[in-house]
Amino acid sequence: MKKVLHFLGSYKLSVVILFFLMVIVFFGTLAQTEHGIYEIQKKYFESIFVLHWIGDYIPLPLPGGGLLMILLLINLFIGGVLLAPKSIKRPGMLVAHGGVILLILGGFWGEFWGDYGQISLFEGETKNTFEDSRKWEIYIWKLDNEKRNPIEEWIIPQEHFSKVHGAIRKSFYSNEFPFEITLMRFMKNAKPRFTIPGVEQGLQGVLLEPVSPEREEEQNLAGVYVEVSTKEQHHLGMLWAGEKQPWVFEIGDDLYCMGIRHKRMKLPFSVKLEKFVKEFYPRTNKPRFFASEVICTTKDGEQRTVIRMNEPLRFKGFTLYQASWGTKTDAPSEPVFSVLAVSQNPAEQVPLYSCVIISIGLLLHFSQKLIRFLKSSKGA
Amino acid sequence: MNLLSVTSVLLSILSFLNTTELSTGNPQILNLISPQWDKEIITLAEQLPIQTDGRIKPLSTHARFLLLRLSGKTSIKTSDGKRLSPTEWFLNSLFYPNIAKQYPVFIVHDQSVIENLGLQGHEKKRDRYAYNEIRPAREELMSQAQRYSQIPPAQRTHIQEQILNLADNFLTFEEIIGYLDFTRFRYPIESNTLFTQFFPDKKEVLLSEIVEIFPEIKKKLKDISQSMNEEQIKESLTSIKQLLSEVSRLVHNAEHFTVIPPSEPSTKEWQSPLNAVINVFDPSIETVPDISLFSLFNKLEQTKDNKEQFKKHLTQLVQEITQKANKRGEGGKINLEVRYYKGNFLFYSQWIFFLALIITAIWWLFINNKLLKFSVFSVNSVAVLLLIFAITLRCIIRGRPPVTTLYETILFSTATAVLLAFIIERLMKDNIALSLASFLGLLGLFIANRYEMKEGTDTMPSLVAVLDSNFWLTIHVTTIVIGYGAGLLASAFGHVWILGKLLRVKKNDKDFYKQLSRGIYGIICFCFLFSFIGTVLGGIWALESWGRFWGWDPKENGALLIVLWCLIIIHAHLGRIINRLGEALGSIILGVIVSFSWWGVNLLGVGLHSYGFTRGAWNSLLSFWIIETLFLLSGIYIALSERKQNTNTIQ
Repeated sequence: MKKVLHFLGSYKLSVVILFFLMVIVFFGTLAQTEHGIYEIQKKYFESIFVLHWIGDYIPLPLPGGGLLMILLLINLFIGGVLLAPKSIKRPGMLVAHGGVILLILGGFWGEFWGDYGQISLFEGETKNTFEDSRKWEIYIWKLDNEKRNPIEEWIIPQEHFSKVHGAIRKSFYSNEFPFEITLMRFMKNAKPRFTIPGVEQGLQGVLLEPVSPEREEEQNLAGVYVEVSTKEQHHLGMLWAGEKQPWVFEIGDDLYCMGIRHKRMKLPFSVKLEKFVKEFYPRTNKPRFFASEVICTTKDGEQRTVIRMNEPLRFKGFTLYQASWGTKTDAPSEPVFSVLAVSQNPAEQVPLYSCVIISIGLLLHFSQKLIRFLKSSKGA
Repeated sequence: MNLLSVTSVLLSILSFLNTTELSTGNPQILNLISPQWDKEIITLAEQLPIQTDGRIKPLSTHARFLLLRLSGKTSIKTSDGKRLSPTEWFLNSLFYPNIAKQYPVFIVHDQSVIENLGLQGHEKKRDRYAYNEIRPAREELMSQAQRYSQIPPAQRTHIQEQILNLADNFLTFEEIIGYLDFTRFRYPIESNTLFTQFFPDKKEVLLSEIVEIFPEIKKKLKDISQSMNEEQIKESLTSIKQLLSEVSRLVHNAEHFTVIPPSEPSTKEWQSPLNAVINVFDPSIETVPDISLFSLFNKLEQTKDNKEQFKKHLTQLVQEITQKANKRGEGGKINLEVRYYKGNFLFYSQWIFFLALIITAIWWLFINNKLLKFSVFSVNSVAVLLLIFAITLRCIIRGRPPVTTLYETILFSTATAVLLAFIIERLMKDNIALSLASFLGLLGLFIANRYEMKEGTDTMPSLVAVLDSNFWLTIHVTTIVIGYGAGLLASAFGHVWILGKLLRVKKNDKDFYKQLSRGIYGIICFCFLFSFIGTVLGGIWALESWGRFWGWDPKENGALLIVLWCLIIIHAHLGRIINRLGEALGSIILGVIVSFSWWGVNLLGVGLHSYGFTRGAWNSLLSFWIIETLFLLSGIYIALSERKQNTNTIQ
């Protein structure tokens, strides 16, 4: 047992883990010239194992970033804290290693429990949800018969249907809805096209086919086939993120509609964009600054703030950043919308705290070393 | 009929027209000998504040980087044997375009670029060409450039890239030689009844004369328009339309830089001389614009062959523009910037480092000579102080912390490496660190110079929005760059170790190598400390501005690689996994990683840190990596031969 513990906390293991971590970071960086960051992140940095291809022919199996981080955490804890000499003369390293453990834990925490997304707002517009443009969800609404407004909503998140492709189908039920939904052939990025009559079968002459994912995850347009069935009725439908209108169907006397969209999350307040300002350096297209004046409203009142680059707004556990801006078309007079990045990460400040802790530890350690060195050279 | 609508429509249409034929002064007098500008005139012109690339800078800075971009040098040798400074060249291009057109100003790296355009190339593969040489193939150049611009940058061939560059430079040069066209433009009025009323004895008039009198023309038109018949109205409108189309062309030509500070404090954009008086042509505006600066430009053109008059007008122009700018709180650092470039501090610093290198070599022959050691230290100190002085001046000029651009990272890490070498010398007293100081300083400044030459763009540019935070720039970027400097110093130590072993220097002096190793390890710890803190601080900044601490962006990963490698060496040292040779090799690999993180990831061209992208450094970087590989291989050779030796001794 002691041997195992010593091995797990050994310098040798640290060096091996750090070395593989380096290899993964290096390959993961080079691969970014060809693939989008989201894909790379999943493949190299958050995985357990990676199969990296050198050129097109040589496969290189490597431990993934996620696995290495866990191993590093174990190694750090055992070697840097548990087995480390805890003498009052050498507190620096203990503090620094503790800080690194905190840093890694904070990273895991943010990864698993944080929510990230964005809000796009035109001036005057108000929203109380934000979207994660890397994840999808299917929404099903029951509509009132007159105004066709949704009166009931049912959301199926992507985690529940991301594996339905090929022959795999998956059915879903809800107590509020009198039918069963079966999803099949989910495509991360899809494109509709007309069918070849007599050769292919589609829905009203159209079918969805998968296309290779875009470099930037946000630009993918997901698609999925869906079957809605009760004992008496069957409807076959096709949902595609590029289609803004939902698919409408009738069950009994009621109208329903359904569509696929980016994952939406609720904010505990509403955000209204009062004004968006952007300024360029004179006679260039280099942005000098851009800022959004927003009003956040809760039950208790409202707060007016200007969000700009390097100055986010922290409100009710959420942080809103000025991310970018855009227009729907390239026309010069087109109204501009502001894009605010939103994050809700309870461990947001952990990196800062751990940085302070580690820095203190390192400075303490290195200055002790330096003093000892100076003393010894004086003695010599 | 609304004249304003005519004006605006014409202006908008004509501003998009490409004016291929430029009127460039009186063709009848072709004075092809370069004019001799008075020293005072050049000094004055250097200090003229202009607005370009989004900031206010002295004309001399603009001219310097423009000439660098076009020709790859900061001076130009004319066919009559004169060497012109950037400002002289710029003045000639403005005032004597026909002479400037003969200057070999366009650098072409491969003569097949010229042959591709159907022209005869020079004998030398890489040479400079004059405007007049390329002019016959202008159309071909533009059509090829148009075609190649459609190809994504990564897929362009070397020649295509160069043709695009040449076309770009060619058009820029046309902008300069056409800038003062408005002062030379003569409007024929002979058959124009409206204008002949105001200029009864003239066949043609200068634009400045029209601008002066136009408020009256407007007034007159208004007064008489009631009594005019349709035919007359049509006639006068046609003549004004003609004039306005000419004016729009001239406005378009004078876009290269702006030089008139607007009187409205909230307006950030300066104006070109003609644009500043354009309101005079607007019938709906009755106030007469201030035409004094516009007139001064005209007077400069008219008196360019009269030194005294020209000087008088230039003095007045520079003074008035400076005053106007200062009133707006702008251009306060113009003179300092002129002096910074004139001082050539980095150039001198580089040569003093070179001198220090020579003294170092002599010192090595007489290693115990204290006087020589002191000289090495003093000469290096002078060089590094000059470097620090230059960095400080740059900070003051821009009101920014020392490092905001890739160019400044070189200056700062060089200073760091040299100072750190001093400190280590003080601690270890083994003469190695001090010996390396001049080499590192020289190398750093050489690279900085090469980089500036290659990029050919202002090294004090305006900063993109995300970088606009002096606080974060100071604590994150500076820390990271200190880490780079330390990494390179460690690498230099590693090279000394390997070279020493290879050349069998001090082969019986075990202490020498022991000391060297201690140095390497110490610097790696220092490098780790700064790289680590710098990287985490970068993460915290990213959290503030992009909303995430870590995004696996190439630049972030590059910094992480340095941290991880330092950690590997430190832990391998502590666990006695590697010996001294291993540490020396480790420090050389550290140098390779630093170069990858510093330059390599920028060359990948992806990620959020796009403000640091650069091109064309691949070759230098690859050569560096190849040399380092050779060093690593020699390390293996040393290991093998030492093992053999050990076995022999045991046997």
